[in-house]
Amino acid sequence: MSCASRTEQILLYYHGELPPSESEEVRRHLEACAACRAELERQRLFAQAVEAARGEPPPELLAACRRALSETLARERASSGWQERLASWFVSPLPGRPAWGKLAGALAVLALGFLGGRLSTGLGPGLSFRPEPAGLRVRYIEHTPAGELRLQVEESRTRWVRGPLTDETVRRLLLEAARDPIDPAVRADALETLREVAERPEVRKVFLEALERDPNPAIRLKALEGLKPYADDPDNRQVLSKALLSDGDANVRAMAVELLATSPRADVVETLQALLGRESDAYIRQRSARILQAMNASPGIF
Amino acid sequence: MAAEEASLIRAAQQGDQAAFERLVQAHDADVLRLAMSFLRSPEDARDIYQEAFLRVWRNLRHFRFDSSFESWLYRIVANLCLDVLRKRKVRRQMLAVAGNGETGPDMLDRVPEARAETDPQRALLSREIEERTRSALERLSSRERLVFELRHFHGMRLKEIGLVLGASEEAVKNCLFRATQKMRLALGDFL
Ligand SMILES: [Zn+2]
Repeated sequence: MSCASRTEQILLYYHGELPPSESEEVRRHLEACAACRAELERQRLFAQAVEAARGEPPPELLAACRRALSETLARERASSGWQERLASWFVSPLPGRPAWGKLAGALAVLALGFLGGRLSTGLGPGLSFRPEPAGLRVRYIEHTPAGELRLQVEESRTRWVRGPLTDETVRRLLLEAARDPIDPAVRADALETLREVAERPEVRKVFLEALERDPNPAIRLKALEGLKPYADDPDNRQVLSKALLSDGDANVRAMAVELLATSPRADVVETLQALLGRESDAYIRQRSARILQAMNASPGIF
Repeated sequence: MAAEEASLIRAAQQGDQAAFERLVQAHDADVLRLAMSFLRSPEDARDIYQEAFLRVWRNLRHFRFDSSFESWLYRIVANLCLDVLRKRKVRRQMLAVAGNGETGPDMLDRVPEARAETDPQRALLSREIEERTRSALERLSSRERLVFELRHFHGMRLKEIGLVLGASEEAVKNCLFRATQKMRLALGDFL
């Protein structure tokens, strides 16, 4: 091998990237060849110059990055709690509903998708899911060990509002937060927190509104969860039927069908029959047909 | 992988928040530097930093120690950077079509100018070398720069760099060689 064609080999030798036998061969050649030793020395000087030019990231930029990351992680942690709870709700045994396991898998995928998209998920254009112009916006919801709530509220600046769920201001802020136009994590936390006072009509209204209008399927599932104890309520059944027939997300439809089936009535038969005609998801079709059979109703001609 | 790092990772996988933070702080300056030198924009580097560590946080439980943590992390960073570059390229092409074509530094393929005079002061000379080195780095292709910096600034083995880029070790070798040649050419009269 000529010395001129050794440039690449010497580069790799310098970086310790030659196989042992080849490395040994180069080492022996270097002992005998001044030109190649000079080439190795140039490579060494070059690497030194490069190393000297290595810039450090500005410390204030690094500090800002760390701050932003720890804030985001705090939010992720706060919301991963409810995702697990939501998933466990899915697998919790319901009498005569053996197919929940499958759904839980589907939900896990959905939850990931939600996490993946949440940072940039605002409301899509043209959606009128905006609260009345309000001076306050809840940015963050925290449960204290003492059983109180801490709400971070944005005005022109942010501050903390503190109080129990029985406090009217706290509740009013939570209702606002459940309609937050930007952050789905805040909407999810708010709905989760409000479940405890879902006997209040204004709270159920927010759940129904979220089910009907929230662009994020994970939030609509959250709303369904809150409506679960009230599946018998006529207003709720209407919205549930509508969700079942028109929601774009199969997980939401699957959960809606289960909720409606918890108290089978004539209105369910109609909805399920309509559903069988248009449902694209095989699992949901199968569930609907089973529920209809159990009710001794005809699955129809579909 | 250092045993200490492995135990940090295991603790973080179990949900230990402090361990995760230590893991981040052991690597985040490198991540930021890499993103900065790759994208040349503090705003973009900041986004990459955030997104990279979020991905680490979300996926850490799936980390199986079959590669080094660092190369796993750099793989994430590199892929995010490459995404940004792809988007920029599309934007540049659109601007160019609109008749507004920018000529960024990587589009100018200037031959290094010969120095008119030699400064006798060593400090000044080395600063000049530094500047030359930086501008030469900027003129590398993104891929060349990434390989070059991962090797020189982050001490990664070529094999690991191949994993990061999804390229063969052979391709990475060629890339490093090409980058080195270009850089040395640019610094030729200083070394
Ligand atoms: Zn030789």
